[in-house]
Amino acid sequence: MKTDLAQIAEIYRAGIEEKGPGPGTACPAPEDLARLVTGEAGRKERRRILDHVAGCGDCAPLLKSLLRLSGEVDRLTGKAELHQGPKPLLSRRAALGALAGLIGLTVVTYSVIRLAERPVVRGTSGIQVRLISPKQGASLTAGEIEFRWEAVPKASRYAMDVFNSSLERVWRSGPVADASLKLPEDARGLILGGDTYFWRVTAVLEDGREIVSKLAEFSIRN
Amino acid sequence: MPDNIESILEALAPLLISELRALGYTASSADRDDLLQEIRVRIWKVLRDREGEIFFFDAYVKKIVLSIFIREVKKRARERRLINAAGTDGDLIRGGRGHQAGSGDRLKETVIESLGTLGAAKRRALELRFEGYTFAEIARLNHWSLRKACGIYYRGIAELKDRLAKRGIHDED
Repeated sequence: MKTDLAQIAEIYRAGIEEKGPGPGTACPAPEDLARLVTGEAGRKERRRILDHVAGCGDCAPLLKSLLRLSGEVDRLTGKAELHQGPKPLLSRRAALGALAGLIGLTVVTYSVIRLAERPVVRGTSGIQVRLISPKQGASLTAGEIEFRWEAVPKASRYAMDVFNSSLERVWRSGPVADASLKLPEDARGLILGGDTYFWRVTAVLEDGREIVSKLAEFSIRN
Repeated sequence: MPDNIESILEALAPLLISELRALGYTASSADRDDLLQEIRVRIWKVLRDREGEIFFFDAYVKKIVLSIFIREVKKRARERRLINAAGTDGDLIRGGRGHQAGSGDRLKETVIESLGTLGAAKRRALELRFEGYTFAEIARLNHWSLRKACGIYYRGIAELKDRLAKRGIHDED
């Protein structure tokens, strides 16, 4: 047997006409239909009424009339009511924009971190300052901090920086001649237990060029 | 009473009458005037009770219009039942509910049964659409977005066609 959508709709309407009142015990009161149209019906009530109306040859036309009247009143009183369900907190476009912004922010943050970690070599090729201790991720007490790094050939002096977890500099040494440095007493007061810090060394070559090491992280035990 | 209410009521009157007719009730210009007068009186009462100030005026007007319309429909339905009970054929406009025999009956049963097996939302969307509701009306009644209403309807149609095909009724489209 063959049929099409228009015929199915026709068959359905004929079936409903024959059947009379729709599913459920009785037709809802017309006032309930009005509450549905004005949006006053709760979710459960709305479903119950609509399930009935959808299959009821008597209620469906009445609800349709109420809808048309409601729309006309809205139009005449100047209230454009294009109620299309509860609005989401963010529209699809806004959500996509927010997501793109978040991704952009992540990329920028990551780039900044990578940039901060990158050894800055100014005017040199192949020469690096390698940090020896404390090693990356080491955990130690404030009293035992001694920084050591590999000596750089032709380095006239070094300088060492300590940064907090926000990468703000908390301490900078004066010129250091050797490839090691014990944290002086005054600097220990700036390094707090339980916090994470980063350190790096800048080597100043005889010709004035500077080589900066990578950042290494260390934490201070309480 | 706000000045524009008269023009609103005048503009609304033809629809009130045509909706009554669409529901199968005869309605004349006298009915039109009666309905408008009732709406005017109700609005006037609301204005009097609230000392001339109504917030959400459009919502009040809508409530009053729908309520008067419903009352009129109920009144006419009662009259029709009385006429039918007296043995007169009151179904003047709709006409009798016809009966098809043979394969038509089987097809009807199959369509209604297959619809019944769909999920509630799909069934509701399809049935309302078959009843002549627009997608915008279906969306509004169900508190769905227009896109959702269309999506549920088309998925429902696909499912219905599939179920009908399994029962030997194939789509011509």
